[in-house]
Amino acid sequence: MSVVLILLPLALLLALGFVLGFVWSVKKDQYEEGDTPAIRMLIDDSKPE
Amino acid sequence: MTPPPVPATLALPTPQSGGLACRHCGLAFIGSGDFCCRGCENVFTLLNASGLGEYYDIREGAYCFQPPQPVSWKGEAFGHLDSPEVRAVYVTPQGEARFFVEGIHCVACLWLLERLPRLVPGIRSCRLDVSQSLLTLTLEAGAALAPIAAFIQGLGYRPHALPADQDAEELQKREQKRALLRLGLAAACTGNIMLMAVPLYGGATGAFGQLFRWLSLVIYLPVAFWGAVPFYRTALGALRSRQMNIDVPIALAIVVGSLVSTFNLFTGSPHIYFDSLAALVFLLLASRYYLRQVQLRSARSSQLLQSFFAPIAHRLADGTAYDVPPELLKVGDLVRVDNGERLPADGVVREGASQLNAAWLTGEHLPVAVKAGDAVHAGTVNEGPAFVLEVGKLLGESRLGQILAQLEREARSPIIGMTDRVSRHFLTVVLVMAVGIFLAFAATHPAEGLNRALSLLIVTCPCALALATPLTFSYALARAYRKGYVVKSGEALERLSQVRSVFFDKTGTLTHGELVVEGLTHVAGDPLRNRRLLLTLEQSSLHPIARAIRHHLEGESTLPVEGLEEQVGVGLRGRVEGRMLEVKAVPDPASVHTCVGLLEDGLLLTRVVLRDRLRSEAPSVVQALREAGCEVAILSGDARPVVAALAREVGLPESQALAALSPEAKHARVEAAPFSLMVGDGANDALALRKAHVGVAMHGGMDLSLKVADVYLSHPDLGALVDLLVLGRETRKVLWRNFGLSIAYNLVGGIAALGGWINPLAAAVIMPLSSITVLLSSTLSTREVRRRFKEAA
Repeated sequence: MSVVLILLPLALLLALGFVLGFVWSVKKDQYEEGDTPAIRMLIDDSKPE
Repeated sequence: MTPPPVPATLALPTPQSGGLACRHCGLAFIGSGDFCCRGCENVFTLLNASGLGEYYDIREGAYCFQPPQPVSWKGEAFGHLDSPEVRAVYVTPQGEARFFVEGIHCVACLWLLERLPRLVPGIRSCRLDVSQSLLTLTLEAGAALAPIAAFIQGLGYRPHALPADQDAEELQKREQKRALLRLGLAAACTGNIMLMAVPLYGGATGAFGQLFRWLSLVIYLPVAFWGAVPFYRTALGALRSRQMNIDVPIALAIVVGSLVSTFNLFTGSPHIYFDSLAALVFLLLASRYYLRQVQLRSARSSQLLQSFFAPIAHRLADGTAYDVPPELLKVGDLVRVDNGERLPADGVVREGASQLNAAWLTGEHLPVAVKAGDAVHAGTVNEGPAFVLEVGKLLGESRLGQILAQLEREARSPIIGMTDRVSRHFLTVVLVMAVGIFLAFAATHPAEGLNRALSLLIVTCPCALALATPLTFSYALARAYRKGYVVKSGEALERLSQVRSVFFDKTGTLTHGELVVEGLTHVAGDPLRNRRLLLTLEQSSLHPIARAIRHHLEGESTLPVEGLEEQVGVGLRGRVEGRMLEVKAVPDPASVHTCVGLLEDGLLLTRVVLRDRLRSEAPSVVQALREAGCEVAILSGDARPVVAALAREVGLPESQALAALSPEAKHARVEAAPFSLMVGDGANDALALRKAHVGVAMHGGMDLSLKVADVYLSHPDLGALVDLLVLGRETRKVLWRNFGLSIAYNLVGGIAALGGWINPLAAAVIMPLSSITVLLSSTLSTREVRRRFKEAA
């Protein structure tokens, strides 16, 4: 059972990492608008001129 | 350059056999050449000249989110955007400007518009939101807005500049962002507490058991101190104004639950509820976030629609016209009013003569003639040639302004929602019982009493009400929105379910709102020559009758004419083949419709009957509404015979057709009927729309109606009314069903909690189980709703 003492902090650190990632993405307006980016990525880069 | 291939997607219709496809918009058209209209041709030329031919490559086979449309060539001038006083309205101090762009339909549009910074000087960056057709530009310091707007128009779109109301919008955005953060945090904490709870339910004891319990507390802290703050805030607000709302027991359960669990943790008792409490907060935050999101979206689309109607006045100074928003006009200013424009202020005609349509005041759709010296009113529409108006009263003092002001003043009295009313009693009962059970045990076993009271609070936590009600509303609103019905609030939906009487406006609501030729009767002469003569005389007039006749006689040729003149308010005349020809009103006592005649040297050749056509779906909708138990009536400002004839056509008794009503009389009628629904479009209906239990504004309505209505229909289809009434009633059913379900759960859980038979595991299972049941019930709605609001695959 003592392995829990290592795994538990590890799991919580991982969770904290994801929470911080989420906070960052909200602050960076990643959830502002979901429709256009889904379409924008369909456009290919311009052909070399 | 090789011609671009015609896109062969489902969204772009392929030309009919023998027909042609426009090289710009891709739509089939009849005629010759490569383009369906001048607009499309111009855009095609411009795109290719600017090296943007790639647009057509991208569009080929592209995903279209809206059907494409030919370019409507309405050359608008944007010069006014750059006068300092006007610019301040549209551009933020940071140099951001926003346009609502009409005509965006596919990926290629996105590609084209986001290239603007490379095409027009002065734009630093640019972003398009396709779901709202909203273009946000960041300008370089001092860059002019007008050339940008003109360029966008040149590309075949219609840009509408949006006033920069930054504060309100920023605030909303910040609030939603914060709500999302709370939601995300609550979700993360809930998940991790569950991780701790599993071994506890599994029977972990001793040192490890204590470790997991303590960790639950640590992870729970951010939820209690930050995530749940909105509930504390509204609960405190409600208590301060001595009211009961759903957040009171929620906040109480969270506070008491947290305290008891912490107390138990310290004393070593196994009863801790951090997992249930965190899950509760998370679910509630999620449902509220979603509801708010749906509401904000419909509020924003009705705001965007209002920008369609943003009026502009052409102020004359030193012989030149400067465009300004009407609010900036002063008494004594001279203003040019062009054909088709709405008068920006009350005043007097200074130069010129014309015809004004006062439909918003009187409901009468035939224009009234005015000449120099006549007094005219704001909001009437110029249907004749341009004239000069001297501003006599400011907008705020005009009749239109007064109606506007009255609307602003009359805030709707808040109606307490059904679930709120019922849950208030329910909540009081639960609270009293919880306190009662605690007091009953207080003397002997205070800890046991606290446990039971808390189990009761958690297990009966009005999840179904707190969570399912907003979700049910937001699903219903989203369903309506996808069909083009913008319902402004869940409360409006609830009011829809109560509607007992439906009032229709006539012009523009039951009818299309424009005259068409019903028939020509040739009394004398050669019919073909008569038709040509008629078109010859009507060829250039701006009068609605002339437009209708031209439309009817399209493809007919004209004859040479001398001295063609329009006598405002009388008719037209001119000389053809040496004879004096006239078109003027020829009243027909047998008909209620508008009649004009073609006369040759005073002899009647042809009689033309014109009428405002009924919407084809009107009779069946009226029938369906009456079958649904609603009283249906027509309210119109028009003359009695016209309204009575229309009532017969839609299948209503004459007693239900009320004619010759002023805007005030209309609103009195609507106000007198309980649970009334008013459907209208013009400004003359605005008061009635506001006074009605539910106000529905039709497509094409004025900004005023949009502002006050509860529902806005983005397509002019009356069938929407039946859909909406059904949606309202069915949503009410779903609410009651959820209510029944949660009461059943609560009775079982509550009795178990009071008796002390419930353990934390059972409470933790019952709580989410009841939530999931009501969630499913809300999402599925009813069969009738699923049938009517079937998603287009």
